[in-house]
Amino acid sequence: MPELSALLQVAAIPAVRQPVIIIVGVAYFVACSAIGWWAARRTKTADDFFVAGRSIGLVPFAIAAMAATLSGFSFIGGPGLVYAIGMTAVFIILPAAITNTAGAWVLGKRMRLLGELRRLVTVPDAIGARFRSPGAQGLSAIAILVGIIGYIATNVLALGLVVDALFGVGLVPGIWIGTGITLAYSASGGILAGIYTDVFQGLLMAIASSIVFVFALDSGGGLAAITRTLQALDPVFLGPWGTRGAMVALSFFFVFAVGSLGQPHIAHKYYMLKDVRRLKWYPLLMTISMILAQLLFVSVGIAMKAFVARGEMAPLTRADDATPLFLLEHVPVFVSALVFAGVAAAIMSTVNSFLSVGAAAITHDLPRAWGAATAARPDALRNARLWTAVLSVLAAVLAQASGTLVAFLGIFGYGLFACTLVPSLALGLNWQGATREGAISSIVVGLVMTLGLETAAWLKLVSLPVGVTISGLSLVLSMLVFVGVSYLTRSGAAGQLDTDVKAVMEV
Amino acid sequence: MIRLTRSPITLLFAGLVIVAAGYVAILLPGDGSTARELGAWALALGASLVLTGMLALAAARPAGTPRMMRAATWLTFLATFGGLAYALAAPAPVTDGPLLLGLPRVTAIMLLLTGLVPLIALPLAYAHAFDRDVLPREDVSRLMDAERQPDA
Repeated sequence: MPELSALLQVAAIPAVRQPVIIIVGVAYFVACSAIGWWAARRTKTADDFFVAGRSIGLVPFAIAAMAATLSGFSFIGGPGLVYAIGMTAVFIILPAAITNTAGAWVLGKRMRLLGELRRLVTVPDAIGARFRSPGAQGLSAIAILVGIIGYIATNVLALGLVVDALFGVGLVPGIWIGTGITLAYSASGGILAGIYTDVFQGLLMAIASSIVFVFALDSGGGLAAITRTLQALDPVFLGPWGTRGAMVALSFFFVFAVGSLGQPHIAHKYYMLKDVRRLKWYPLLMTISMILAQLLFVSVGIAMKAFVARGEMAPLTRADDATPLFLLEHVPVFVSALVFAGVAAAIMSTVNSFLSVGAAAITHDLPRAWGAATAARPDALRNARLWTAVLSVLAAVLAQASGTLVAFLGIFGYGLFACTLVPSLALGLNWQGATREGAISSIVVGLVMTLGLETAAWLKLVSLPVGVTISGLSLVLSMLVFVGVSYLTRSGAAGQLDTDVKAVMEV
Repeated sequence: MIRLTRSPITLLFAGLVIVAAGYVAILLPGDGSTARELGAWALALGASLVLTGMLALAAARPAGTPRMMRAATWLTFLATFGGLAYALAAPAPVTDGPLLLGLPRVTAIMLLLTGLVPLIALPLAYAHAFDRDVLPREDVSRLMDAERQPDA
């Protein structure tokens, strides 16, 4: 059954080497490098490196958040999944209808205010401050590190596949070329470079996705014609739950709706907003940009299925070929070039965000959990750059390992972040009755359950029934543990709240 | 101040228990199709309650939950659960079923309720309530001023 592994791109992409596509691809990488170089000159401190000097305006902030939220999955794996299982796959993006606003509603205001009052730079910082607990901060940093290494490796592998498809250089050189360019701007300009490349990349993704949407519906004869074709083939495909049924669809809905509030590379961005009151229009802007960027996700998969149903195209040997083949056969070459650049953009923006979060966990959160002061250290910026480079190289090396190992490492990233961070961050910042015992217990339960069950599943020691996902089980259990342990230890709740944190929670 | 968030936490906890029950129904040995049906209803209700509980928790203030935020929260619950429940209760899709907006009618109604209603209502409600209820300018000033005072 489709699990979170569906989010991974580990198989080769059909070669798309054409002069226009190569020229646009080269121009894209040059533009990213130029933006990174520009931003690097403005990165003077660790605060600039990790939170962009808290200087980002609303529009770049919203577009960057959209770009970081979407990985290459939105352009390749997602449409492939729609082609394979129909409406079931749509439940991965359907929660965005709520989560675009829920991020600001539940996390944004309080993280940004707390960040300004305490000069916080990381998600574990917020957890540590909320519960006055270096232990909770350290544990959440460990959870983040465990999750991101595999997550970056899978994205770097996907980037290598895209570079290979564009330039025909081979997978390993593709991995190192993609990693090298992302590392260059990530290590030199940190998240400041990341934000401005994200803006460029996000705009590219939204434009490319919107154009492809029009072509997909038009080449299929309109949505109603596509639907009639698919209804005749298999009425369940575009039925409300798709071919995998309600339980799988609703499991996706639960994990992606609630889990979105625990993704550190998104939550971390709230610190960067110049003025907390600019959050007012953030949900609306985020909603508009996400709609545009996700149009390709749904349209290409159903259009390709209709072509196959009408006999206009042979069935795909791999579902992930849906987007590349659609682009090569149904879209002008310049638009294809934009989309392939958009795929690279989506991957690189996610990698950059994770590199920043990972370097911060190593150089900032773990030392703090051990009681070391980090903010004022003169070597903070150098260390951040060094660890960004180390994480990039480690991910690139891992990406060359066996596909199944990389897939295994990448699978649990999203679910691990969800079950370790949603309770202590999203609930913790809004519920004064939460306790540090609840926070620590939920992080430990989330870590142990996700790692234990995912490892057992990988070794084929356990097999869950259709519709029950490890990420869903771990998420619901860690949240129940958080609420239950907090209730049992509620006598200590008020004493664990600092005055300023309490004031932020009551605004 | 624990009291002011008691109801949303109860809502959230109830949602989590219902989601967990849905998973347990599938994991237990027995009639697979009945368990899957029960599990799906539990996930639809539980996930909607968890989301509603989180929004309600974040909207709660010492003086009570602002009216616009409360309305948006409950509208989200009704639309989300309503759309999912409608699709769960609908008959199985057929080859020549009616279309709405180019999609099978049940799918379209489910997407309109679960997707479009919160997609439009939540960001607009948030922006509308922002200056008065979400983050009044004077609240930010008071918070920052208090932090600047040495005894704060």
